This record gives sequence, C-alpha cells and structure tokens, in this order.
Amino acid sequence: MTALARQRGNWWHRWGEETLSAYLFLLPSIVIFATFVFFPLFFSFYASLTHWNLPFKPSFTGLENYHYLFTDEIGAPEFFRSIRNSFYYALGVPLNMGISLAIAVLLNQRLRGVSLFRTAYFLPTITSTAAISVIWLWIYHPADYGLLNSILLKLGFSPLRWLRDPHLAMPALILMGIWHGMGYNIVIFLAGLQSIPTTLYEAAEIDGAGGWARFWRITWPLLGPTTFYVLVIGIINSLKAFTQMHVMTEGGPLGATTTITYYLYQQAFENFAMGRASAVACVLFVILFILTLIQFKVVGSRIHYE
Amino acid sequence: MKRNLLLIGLVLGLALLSACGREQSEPTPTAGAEPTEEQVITLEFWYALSGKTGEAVEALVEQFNASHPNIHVNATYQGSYGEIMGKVWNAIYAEQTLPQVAHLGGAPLLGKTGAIVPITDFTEGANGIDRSQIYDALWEYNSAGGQIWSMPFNNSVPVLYYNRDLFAAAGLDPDRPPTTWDEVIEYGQALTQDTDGNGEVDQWGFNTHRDTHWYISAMFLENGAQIVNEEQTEVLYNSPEAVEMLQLWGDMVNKYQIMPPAQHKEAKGDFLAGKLGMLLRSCAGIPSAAEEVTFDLGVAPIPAIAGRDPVEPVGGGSLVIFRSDDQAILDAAWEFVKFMTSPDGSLHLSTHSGYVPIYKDALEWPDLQVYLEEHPLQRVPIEALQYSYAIPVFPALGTSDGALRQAVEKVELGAATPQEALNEAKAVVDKNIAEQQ
Amino acid sequence: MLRSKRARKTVFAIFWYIVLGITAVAVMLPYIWMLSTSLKGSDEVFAYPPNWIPRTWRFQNYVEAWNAAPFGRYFLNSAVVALAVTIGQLITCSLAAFAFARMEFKGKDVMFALFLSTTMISTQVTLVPSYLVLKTLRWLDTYQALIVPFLANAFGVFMMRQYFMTLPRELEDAAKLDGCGRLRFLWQVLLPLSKPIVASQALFAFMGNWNSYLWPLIVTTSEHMRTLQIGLRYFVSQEGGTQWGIFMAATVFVSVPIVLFYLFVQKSFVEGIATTGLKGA
Repeated sequence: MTALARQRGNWWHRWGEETLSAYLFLLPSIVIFATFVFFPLFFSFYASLTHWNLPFKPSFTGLENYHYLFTDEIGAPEFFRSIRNSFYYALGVPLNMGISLAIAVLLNQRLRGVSLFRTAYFLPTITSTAAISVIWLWIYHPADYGLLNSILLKLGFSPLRWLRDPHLAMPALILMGIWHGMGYNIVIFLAGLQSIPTTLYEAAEIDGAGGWARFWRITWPLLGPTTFYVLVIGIINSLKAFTQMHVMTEGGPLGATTTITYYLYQQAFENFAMGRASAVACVLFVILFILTLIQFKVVGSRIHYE
Repeated sequence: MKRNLLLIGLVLGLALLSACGREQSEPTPTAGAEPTEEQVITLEFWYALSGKTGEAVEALVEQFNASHPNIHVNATYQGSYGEIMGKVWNAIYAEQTLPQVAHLGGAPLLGKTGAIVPITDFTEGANGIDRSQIYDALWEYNSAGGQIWSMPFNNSVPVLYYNRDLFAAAGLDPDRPPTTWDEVIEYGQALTQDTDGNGEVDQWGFNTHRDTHWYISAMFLENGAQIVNEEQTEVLYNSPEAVEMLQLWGDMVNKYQIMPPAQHKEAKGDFLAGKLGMLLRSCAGIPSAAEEVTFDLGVAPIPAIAGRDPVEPVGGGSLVIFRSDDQAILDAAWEFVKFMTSPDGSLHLSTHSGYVPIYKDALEWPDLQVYLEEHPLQRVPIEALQYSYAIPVFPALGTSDGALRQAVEKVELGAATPQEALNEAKAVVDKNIAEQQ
Repeated sequence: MLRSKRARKTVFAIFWYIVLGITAVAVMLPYIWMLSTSLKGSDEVFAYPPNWIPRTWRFQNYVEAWNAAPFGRYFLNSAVVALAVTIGQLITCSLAAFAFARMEFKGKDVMFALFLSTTMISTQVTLVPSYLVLKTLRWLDTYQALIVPFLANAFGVFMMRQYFMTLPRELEDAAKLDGCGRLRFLWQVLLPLSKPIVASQALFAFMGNWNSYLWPLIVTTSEHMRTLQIGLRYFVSQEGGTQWGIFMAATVFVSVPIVLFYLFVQKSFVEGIATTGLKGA
C-alpha cells in the first residue's frame, strides 16, 4: 500500500517534473512562433474567408474564395493545374537526395584535397539568384548557341527549347533545383555521416565487407534519421518553391511551371487578391500537413534511432 | 547554475531588445510635425529608381536640399515599383506612418484609398504650374476616376532597337529602319539567318522584351482597338481590331518566322550579343544598351500600320503626395515635387537616364540640344512623344497585363487562335474587375 | 596481395577524383561566371558564349560597387542581425530539440506537429499580419524587427532532434548518476557530441539571414537600418539596364563572409571524424 503510493508519487513526480521542464525548454520557441507564425497563420485563415484587396480592409465572404478555387470555371482548372505542377516539381526531391547522398559519401572519405571539393559543392547555394538566372538562361538557351544545345548538336542530336517548351520546362527547372539545393543536402548528410562511429566500418572491413556492402549495411540504416529529415523538409520546400519559377519562367510556358506558390504569388501581387491568396496558402498548408503526416506514419516509423 | 544563467541571459536579451525598440521608435521622424528651433521641415521621400537613374534622383534631391534651407528631404530607395507599392499598401493598411512624398508606378491606383492628395490641388493652387506645358498623355497616365492623382516624373515609351551592323550585312539600309509592321516582317526575313549553316536559325529578325503586354497593347491601339470601356467595367481586347493585331504577332512567329516563340526573356541578351536584328523595348534602356553593345546601335520609333500614325503608350513612374493635417508639410512636399518635375529637374533626369523629358518644348531647350548632339539615339523617343498615349489606369491592370502576356504566349506556341486567346483573357480580367467593385 | 589492394585503392581514388572534379566544375559554373563578370566592362557581359576570362580586367568594378552605397553600414547591420539570429537559433533550437529527442512529456506529438507546421506556411500571405505585429510592438525600422521573428526555427529543431535521437541512451544514465541537471547535460554532453549538426544549423541560420531581402525591405525604411541584400538591388534597374560588372562585384564581396563562415564550419566535419571514437562508448 505505502509502496504503491510511493511508486505513484514517484510517477507523478517524475512525469510532472519532466513535462514541466520540457515545456520550459520549448518556451522560447513557442513564444516566437506564437507571435510571428501562429498569429499570422490564424490571420491568414481568417483572411481566406474574406474578400480582401490591399490596402482596403477585408470583408467577410465565407467560403467564396474556396468555391473559386475548387469549382469556378476559370479558377478551378488553374488551381488544380498548379497543384499538379507542384507535385511534378516535388519529384525532384528523391533524385536530389540520391545525388546529394552519393556526393556526401564521397566527400566524407579521407582523400587529400577533399575539403576543396566540399567548398565547391556548396557554392551554388551562395551564388546570387541574378547570376544564377543569367547563367541558367544561357545553359538552357533555346537557340543553338545555348550551352546544352551546343552539346546536343555536337553529339548529333537536334536542339531543344528547354524552358520555352511547355513539356520540357518543368524537368529543366527540376534539374536546376537539384543543382541549387544540393549544397544544403550535402551539408546535412555530411553532418549525419559524422554520427556513424568509424569503428563500425573498421569492424566491417575486417569482416571483408566491400564498399557497397558497407554502405547498405552500415551507412544507409544509421543515416536513417538524417535521410528522413532531408526527405520531409525537401518535400515541404519543393511544394513551396517559388524563386526558380519567378526568375526563369514566370510560370510559363502555357502555365506549365505555375506551381501552387507561384499561383499564390500571382493572386497576391498581380491580382491584388489577398483573400484568395490566403485561401491558396491554407490549402497548401493542409496538403503539406497531410503529406508530412503520411511520411511520419509510413517512413518515420521504420527509422532506426540509436 | 549554468541553466539559470542561460535563461536569465535569454530573458535579459529579449527585454533589452524590446526596451531599446521603444526608445528608438518613439521619436520616429514624423516629418517635422513639431516645428524645431530652425523651422526646418523634414520630408521623407521613398523612391524606386536604382542604378544610374537612382543616382540622378539623389543628385536632384541634394540640389533641392541645398537650395531650400527650410526644407530637408530624406530620400531612401525602397525597392522596385512593386515592392514600394507593397510597402505603401502595408503601411496604409496598418495605419502606419507614411512618407510625405513617394515615387510609384501605377500611382493613381492609390487615389481610391484616400491616402494621397490629388495633385491638381497643388497644380491649380497659388503656387501652381501650367499643366498644358506637359504632354496630355502623361496627365492621363496619372489619372483615375476623372481625377489627376500624381505628378509625371520618369516616363518612357517603347522604341525599336536595331543592330546597324546586322542591317548592313543583310543588305538593309541602317539609316532607314522599318517604320511599318510590313517592313518589320520584310526586314526581319532578311535578318533571320542560320549563320553557321547547321540547319538551325541562330540569328533572329525581330523580338520584343519580356513585357509583351505593353507592346501588344500598343499594336491594339495602333489598329484603333480600345483597351477598356468608358465605364471601366470590361476590357475590350477581343475586338476584331485587336484580334487582327495578335494574329499579326502570331504570324511573325509562325508564318514569317522572324521571331522565336516564347523567347522574350532571352530577347534582350540576344540583342546585346548581336544575335537579334531588332528588339522592341522601353527607351529607358538606351544609355545602358549603348554601353553594353559592341556593334553600331540604332533606335527607331515603334512601327505603325502602313498609312497610319504609330501609338506610343507611355510607361514609368510618378510622384505622389500623401495626406497630412499640416498645411506647411503639404506645401513643402509640393515645393519638392514641383522642383523634381520642373523643366530643370526633367532635364537633369533625362540627361542622366533613358527617360524622356515630360515637357512639350523640351527639344527647344539649349542644354538638351547639346546633350542630344552627343547622344543622338535619345532624340528618337523624345520626338516619338507626339504619338504618346496613356493606357487607362483601371484597378484590374495587374491582372490585365498578366492575361495579355498569356494570350500572346498561347498564340506564339499555337495553343490557341488569337480570338480564343483574347476571349479567355477578357473573361479573366472582366471577372477581376467585377471583384474589385 | 597487399600491393594489389593498395593499387586498387589508388585506382579508385583517381576515379573518384575525376568524378568529383567534373561535377564540381559543372556545379561551380555560375559562381565562376559571377567572378569573371565582376571583372568585366559592360560591353563584355553579354557575349555569347560567355568569355570566361575577361579581355580587360576591371578591378575598378569593386571600387565603384563599394562606393555606390553605404556598404560599410550595410555590412555592420547584416553582421549584427545574422550573428544575433544564429546564436539565438542555436539556443532555442537545441533547447527544443533536446526536449523532443530526449524527454517524455504530455502533448509531445502535438507540440512537435505544431512546430513542424510552422514550416508549411507561405510567407507571401503572412507578410501583412507580421507587419501588423511589428507595428503593434513598435518595432518597425529597428533591429528587433530583423532579428526577433527569426529566433526560432522549426527546421533547425527538427534537424537537431533527428541527430540527438541517434546518440546512445546510455549517455543519460551515466549523467543521471552524476546528478547532472538536464541543461548541463545538454550543454556539456550532448552538444559537444553534436558539433557537426550544430555547425550546419549555425551555417544555415547565418546564411538564411545574410541573404534575406524582402523582409528587411518591408520592415525597415531608413537608410541606416538597411542590410546588404537591399544594397545589392540598387544595381538592378527595372527599365534601364543593370550594371552587371559592378553588380556582380558587389555580389562577390557580399558573399565572401558566407564562404568564410562555411570554411570555418567545415572544420567541424573533419573534427567530427577524429572524435567519433568517443561516440561508440
């Protein structure tokens, strides 16, 4: 009886104290998020239920904006196309992860001069958007003096119109996105690779495991938490991608690269329809939330920690 | 112990930040609301011009400050037209302090908000100006709802840039640039070439800069089409006159093949690299283009329909004066705006950028004549101002520009006929107009 | 046997060098273009195909770029803001990540979902309400406006949580025996073992703020509060021409601190390799 009570007291003590301190640890972040994220989020949710053209005050219209996005003759096809385009763009994520991981593993070797390469792969992430757009416009230039086209011609193929071709524009942007985002992923993977004890590799080598086997038996499973992070964040960021479309294609040709976020931008800054843009943002939020939830349930549960 | 220190540090840091925030923002320079000892009125001025043109604006502000000891203007660059407008809207919406004067694109759209004073309150006042000295189109460009809201400042028109070397090489007379669209096609066909003989065109005859809505609008107007109806309740660009011109545009791509499809983003680079014969683009870029090319540059007015006058739709930015309860501030603001847009101000700006002077008699100014002797290309847009025209400012203008660009793209890529493309564009814009009401 | 193994290793190494070398050059192309353009005159910028080595070297571009705007002040502002945010984020992120990774508490899943959800918001629509918040706090046109909203970062929390979770549970047990407080455990045990991830988080935080443009433009109005990226825009003209040589020169000197920061941080990846022996314990 007394033993049980003591046990219970301990339990309360243990969990109560831990919960309290956990929230203390979260507090700084919570305060910032509440002020600068959740308030704006609720505001946007309210705004999505209004007719609101800046700089005028919003007026409540209920679900009208959502009706426009999902059922309107003009709005719905455009909106659904933008969702399709965004998912198309997100196909680049696994590709990006594969390439980044491969390079990170190479860069993690103790080769002479490898730090020079590490710096090289990071440079795209710090190159100015303006420089990126100039150089990629040249790489993808539809004439035969574009970089890719001149290579194609040398190899005996006919030139392509890349960004100016409705079917090729999105793949071209995906490739560019990989180039641009690789640096981040490589940094994260490199950091993740450090958590794997070298003793494991040494042991495996003694057992006679080859490089390939070492990767699949040690690196891949132990890198799980990092890979999972890169996947979840990669999907979120790719659905929010905007800069490439803005700088390179302005959503064209024929709307082929108008992603959800670009569509949102058009609503907010071309049509000045903040209410409708907020509705788009809310739908995007829900999509991302569900996608992330699925990833946690399907992939996250298989990750091996520690 | 360390834990406490850390938390204390964090809390202290935040408190400190918020504390100094209050101190700093309390006495925000609310533009000389309280008369200081020297009775100097301070004006905040937001502007959107960068690079060399931005320097010209700053130089003008300095001149003003030097010559007006009782007024001090604080000029700050606030981003592109779009960004500065965003800032102004945010500030109006949040009822935050606005500057006293701002330089904006699409300025008359602010009229409805009640945040700005109609410029006619000043031009017609005791310290006013004679509006007839300035081009009518520029006043219309600054009007909305029958009221002139803003003061013309930096204005430009589309002109035809051409490569005189390529003209000569193609057997065309560089001193006789095309004046009609028929000639554009004819010249364009001579200029469009496969220079390295690999079966692919690598030198195009004609193209326009990426703001295709501006150029197609000019073509509509040249053919007598209207952009928007009198009441501004619907756009009219699915009229036969407009459809005809978009058909012509599409033919230049698909029938005569003098213009590559959907390649407007590359057009400027192509032209500067000597890979494009003729480029339709704002005259604001003339001085920089002259520096950037390695060939002999030519400039001509926008082409017209044979036997008719060209139409030069004006673009650019304007100055607005925000409301204030203090008449002294309003007077000072007008003094500043008047200085910036005076013949001297206009002369300074147009001799330090590609923008045109806004005065009708500018070509008679001796200083401008001297300048044009050395920069003859810039005479072209000034002379073209006799054909200047203002596309009406209506609230759905942003949507309209985007819809027109899409219509052009659809026709260039063969995804729609000109009639279909313009019908679709009209439907989108009309809907947006209805929503603005 | 040993010899052939070494030979094989050498062949492999050469092969990897070639693969890495080729892709590295491809990847660096735009940055190289940036560097080479920063030394060109206007008449050289638009050559097709680009000449990678300028015909005439215009070092003058750098001088003109530096003098075109008060870059000294901009550098100071950007440095203050980026460093404050970086330090702040490291503190808030490691605290939160620690709670999520190594503690059990009620509402953990909900809280984590809430944290993650902050990454799913489109900033295009939250600009106006955020502006309202700053106005209410009277923070417009101050350093706080540039710093405080970014002091928490869910990406960072998530990233560090993932890493913390890979560290052995036994660490705690040992620490508990010593009667360590949680904060001390985080500070003295967990963070030193997590150097690589702390370094990457610092890098991202620094870079994100160093490069941000729209937010500083909207929330600051006076010249002395401006940051570097706004200074850069000054060279890009909307209707007239961009002065590419000068613009790229400015872009290069603006990007130098990030490169330095990266080189500094990169060390921790190498250091990590040296100390991994401890982690197995």
